[in-house]
Amino acid sequence: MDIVVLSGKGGTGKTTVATNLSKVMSYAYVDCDVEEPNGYIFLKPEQSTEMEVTLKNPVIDSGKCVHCHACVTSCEYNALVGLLDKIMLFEELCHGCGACQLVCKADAMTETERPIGEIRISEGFAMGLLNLKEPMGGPIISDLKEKTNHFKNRFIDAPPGTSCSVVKSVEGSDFAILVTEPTTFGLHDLIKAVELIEMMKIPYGVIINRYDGYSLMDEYLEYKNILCLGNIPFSRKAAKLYSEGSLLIEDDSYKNHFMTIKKNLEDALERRTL
Amino acid sequence: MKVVVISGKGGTGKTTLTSAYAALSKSVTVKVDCDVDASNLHLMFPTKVNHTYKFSGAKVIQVDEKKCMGCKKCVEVCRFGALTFNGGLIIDDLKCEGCGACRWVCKASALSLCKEITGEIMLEEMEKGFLSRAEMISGQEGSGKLVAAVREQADDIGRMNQLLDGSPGVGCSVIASVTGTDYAVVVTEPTQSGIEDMKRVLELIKHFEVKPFVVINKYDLNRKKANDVKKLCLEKNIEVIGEIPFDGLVKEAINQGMPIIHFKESIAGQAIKESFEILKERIGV
Amino acid sequence: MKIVLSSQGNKKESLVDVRFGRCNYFAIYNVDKKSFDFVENTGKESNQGAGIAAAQVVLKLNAEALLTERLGPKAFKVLEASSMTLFKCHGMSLEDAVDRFKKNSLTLIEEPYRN
Repeated sequence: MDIVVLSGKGGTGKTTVATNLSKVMSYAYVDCDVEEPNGYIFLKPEQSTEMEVTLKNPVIDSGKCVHCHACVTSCEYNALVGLLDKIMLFEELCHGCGACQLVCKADAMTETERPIGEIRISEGFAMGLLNLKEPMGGPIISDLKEKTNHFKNRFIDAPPGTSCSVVKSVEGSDFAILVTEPTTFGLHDLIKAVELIEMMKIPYGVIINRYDGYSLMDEYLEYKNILCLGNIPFSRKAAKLYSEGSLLIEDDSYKNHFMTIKKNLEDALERRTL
Repeated sequence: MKVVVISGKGGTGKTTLTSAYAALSKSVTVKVDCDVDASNLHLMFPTKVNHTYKFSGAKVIQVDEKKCMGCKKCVEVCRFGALTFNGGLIIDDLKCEGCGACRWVCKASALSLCKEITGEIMLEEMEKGFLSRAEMISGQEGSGKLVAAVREQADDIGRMNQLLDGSPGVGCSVIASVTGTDYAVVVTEPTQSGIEDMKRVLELIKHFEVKPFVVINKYDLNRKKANDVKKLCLEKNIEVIGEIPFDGLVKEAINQGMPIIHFKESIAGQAIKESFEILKERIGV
Repeated sequence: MKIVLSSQGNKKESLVDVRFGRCNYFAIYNVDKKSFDFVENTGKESNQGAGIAAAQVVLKLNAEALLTERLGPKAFKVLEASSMTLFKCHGMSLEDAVDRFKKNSLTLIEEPYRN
């Protein structure tokens, strides 16, 4: 069972929800926010195995190259430039698609693997980390999910937003939890996240974090008939626990909130299979 | 002069700060919302849409089923798992990265790359000046390119001072938001997560030779952590230009769609105003 | 000898385009024949690496010099590696720019553009 946690807007509480729920439900936790991962702060994993993630970049043998520039023309990303005496590669633009190698008639192309980040896996926990200055985290997310397939049940912590990195995190999940906050920003961005999840045809429910009473957010969910899995109330105490890198379930009243969410979630998962 | 507001971690208060600075500033007439995934700055001001246009930041492969011979060579070469064959060729648009590698192995010339609309770009008029922003279509690729296009639209308005609202993270969107700016205001929060994320984004902007300033938002939620932020900044020779207290009125302001500085009694608004004065002095406007 | 200029339009009265990667046209001035030719900048439609694509267009023109204003870091890297001399040109007409080139009163572009 894979449950992905996403939000649209940043900072609504994806990691809070994913880490605390993974504990109460004894699921593995996989941090796909490879640009700014935070799950490890709360789950404090021990002994992890680290693996480099690489991207394939072309290498041109200048001895064999006949300067036809077919590779340059084939590159949709403008990563290759044909100078008079050589082909120049802009690594950061290369998507590793291999198109240039398919068109080379001089057999002058090989590939090299360039490191773009790493993944770390331990017992019931995994995360990815993108090297700074690298633009694309997608390949790391795909690798991370592939290499954690052995976990029976996973909570997948997605990055903020609704772009391609989020799509890669969400792909193949059985259920999605959308975390939002009761503000106009939260609502505006939730609508986009709902759009994405419905496009991907994944059943979902919403959790309202930093809840402080009935608001336009509740109205919206009722109006759209969207499943609400529960609320996590705002309090300075919760903010303090979070800021220290502690799980909210260390506090009894928050533990109860998460147990309620767990029950609602389990009910929703069961209904799903009917 | 271009000032970008970023954070590393999401939800620290970039848009709250940017909207306040925009309202306080007399010289910045061009505002740029670079958070194309979650564009929120326009919700803080009354604006009128001047014009909007659709942006194509990616391509997808399409197949002419009549020509397809079913040899499946394209499926073999696709490195992104976007192609499967089941009676006919099935293309997963969300997985297709528009590289066109499959075209080169198709003997039937059945495959072609087509531009995909990935977002919509808007130029909006405000009481003072303009707002350049975009909304990315959910699930699309190329947010960095959309950010670049939003910035180009802003540049085309003319040689004016710009204030940019960035997005969370350190990837292509943030790189596109930060490159070519002069100063960055990094908004952080006094939490372990906020500190770790701030370290990464500071490292990134060092590479782009953008001078950073730091603002600690909701500092009183954990004074000890706020102190940790200050110590870290001291070590890195980065000035903390503001410590904003937690203030329930900020949420009120967001829900009313108004910059916090319009609430005269707001303690956060007061602190943000002070940070703005310091910023102005440091950058010389 | 030929020199290339980034151009807003495809007439000799056009102004030099301050942008390189996304300029509309490249003007090719033949110094011996004293005439202008124009090609479209096909690179400008690129989603990414427009500067690189534009640089590729320019390289194929086999000119000795390029006159433009804003050369981004990637385009700069490409052109620096070529044999072309790069000159800076602020807001003026193509004819003025050519005139200044002939009088040797233009400054070299020695680093990528930063506003």
